[in-house]
Amino acid sequence: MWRLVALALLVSLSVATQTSAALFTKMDRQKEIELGREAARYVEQTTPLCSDKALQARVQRIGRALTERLEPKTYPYDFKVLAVSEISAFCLPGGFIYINEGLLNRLQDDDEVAFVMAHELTHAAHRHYAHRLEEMDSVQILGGLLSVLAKDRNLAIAQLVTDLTWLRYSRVDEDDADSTAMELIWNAGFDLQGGVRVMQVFAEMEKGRNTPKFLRDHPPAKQRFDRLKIKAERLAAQPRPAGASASPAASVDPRTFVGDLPSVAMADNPYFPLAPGNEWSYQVEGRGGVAAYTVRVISVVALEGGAVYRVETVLGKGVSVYAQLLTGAGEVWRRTRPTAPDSAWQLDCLTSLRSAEPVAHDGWQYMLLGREPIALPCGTFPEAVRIRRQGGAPTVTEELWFVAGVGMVKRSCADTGVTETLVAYKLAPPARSDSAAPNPSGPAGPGVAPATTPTG
Amino acid sequence: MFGYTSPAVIAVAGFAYPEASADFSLLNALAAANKHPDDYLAHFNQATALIDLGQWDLARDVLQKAVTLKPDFVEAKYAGAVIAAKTGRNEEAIRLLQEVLTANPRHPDANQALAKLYTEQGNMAAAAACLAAHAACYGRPLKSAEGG
Repeated sequence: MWRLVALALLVSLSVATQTSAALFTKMDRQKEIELGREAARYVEQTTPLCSDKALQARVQRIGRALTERLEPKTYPYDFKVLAVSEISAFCLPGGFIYINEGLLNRLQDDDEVAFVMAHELTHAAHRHYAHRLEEMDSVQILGGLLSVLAKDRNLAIAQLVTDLTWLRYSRVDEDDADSTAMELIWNAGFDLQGGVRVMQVFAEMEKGRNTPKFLRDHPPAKQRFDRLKIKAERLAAQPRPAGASASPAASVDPRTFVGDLPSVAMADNPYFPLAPGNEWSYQVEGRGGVAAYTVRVISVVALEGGAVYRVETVLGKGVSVYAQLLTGAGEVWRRTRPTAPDSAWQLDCLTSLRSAEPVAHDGWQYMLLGREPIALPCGTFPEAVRIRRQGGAPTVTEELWFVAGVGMVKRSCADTGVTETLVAYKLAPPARSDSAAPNPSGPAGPGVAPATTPTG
Repeated sequence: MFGYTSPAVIAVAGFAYPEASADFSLLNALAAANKHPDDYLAHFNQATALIDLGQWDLARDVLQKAVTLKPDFVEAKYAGAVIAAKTGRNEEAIRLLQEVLTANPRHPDANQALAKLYTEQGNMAAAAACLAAHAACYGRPLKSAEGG
């Protein structure tokens, strides 16, 4: 009933002359900034900002680097990270730009983040939303309706934010944003390959079943990737503008992003090979059901003396959990909820035990049960290290099997009756020739993706 | 409080964008709670509308009223867990979800929510147990459970 009333009202007021698009086209810049500021306030009232100050400082630093060389600088650009796992970024009128934590987690370095931010910045600087809103009949109608009926600024702001958050720009505008973003990152001193790599990431996402909502109306990533490569070549053939630092990222200590590291000599761990692109899919059986999850390494933060890897655990139905991992020669450390202020490194597992003597560490007791062959859906491995560990609250007993060069291949918990089995894995070729990881003992080695695919 | 002052505005807003539906529900629940202050469902509906609007602290306060009126209200516990997780109080969220699952082992969302929280803690084995428990009810059951 209400919808019918609303429809009647919408139709009767469709002739309203003052539209939101017209508002934008006629609005002077100062008013646009004020409106954008109100919209930004609304966004921050309804969506939590990421509490990681280092991450906020990072996007602001990158934003400053981009806007310093922007001519003309029409807006007081502001960049913030929202604590939202959805892969998205958007801009509001007046240059208020938001990037979701979920998207940041997908990006490897400052050059890639700079490209995404420059893309959104271009939408704002070139006022693409004004072009698009002119074409949105419903918004035009609503704009008129609001001016007549609502007289309510909050409602107008809420509507505006909703429209702009998921605004679908035209492909011409998207191409303009890509192209200008490349120029901006070049002028600011970032690596042009950052933009090209982002498009590779997006192209990978498009191959999956769950294309992020904000990518669905962009031109295909492969097409954008090809254009960006050409653009990068053209720009790289020109001299970089004077004053652009070679890499603004270089001035920031990467340790800012990894918290207080544990006292461990970082090294490759043959039983837990970490490299961007590595992926393990597990089948979970027990409690009367069969489920699945996938763990993938999405990026790396290179540090003096080692590296910290960002890892995504995909639980299905669009739910992903992010963590950071690092390895010592015989141990794995995990930093959960890395963007939470109280996040700290914890020992995840010991992987190299030399004897059956129990080793106690961090409330857990580890024991080597032996080395044995293991047959799994993803292949048969002649030697797996079998470890038992007991601990936690309430106390649980788990058995874990690790295969050198592959990772954890099985875990079984006697208390819950649940078994996790590796059903497929994909390992990127080792990044360094001096990698400590030995050759895998199993039939499916690094770079080999077994035919078995994850289930569930 | 949220800028919608008349049914006409609410109706139009509800038609135009989904967030207004939460406002509409909120006003409805507020009216119901004012009329019937002992109606735990009115308070619960108010809390869920506030959750939809991202007003976690307000939602928590209102939810407490529903729980006080009906201490064994499982969905209120689940909503409390959602609020606790959203506001970073993960231990509380886990405790509430465990209580939900004790009361209703077939709760449609609790196992998955618990799996996410355990994964965030780095306790993948516990998360896997929750995924399996959810699958037993709503996903792929084990062959033995099917009698096969």
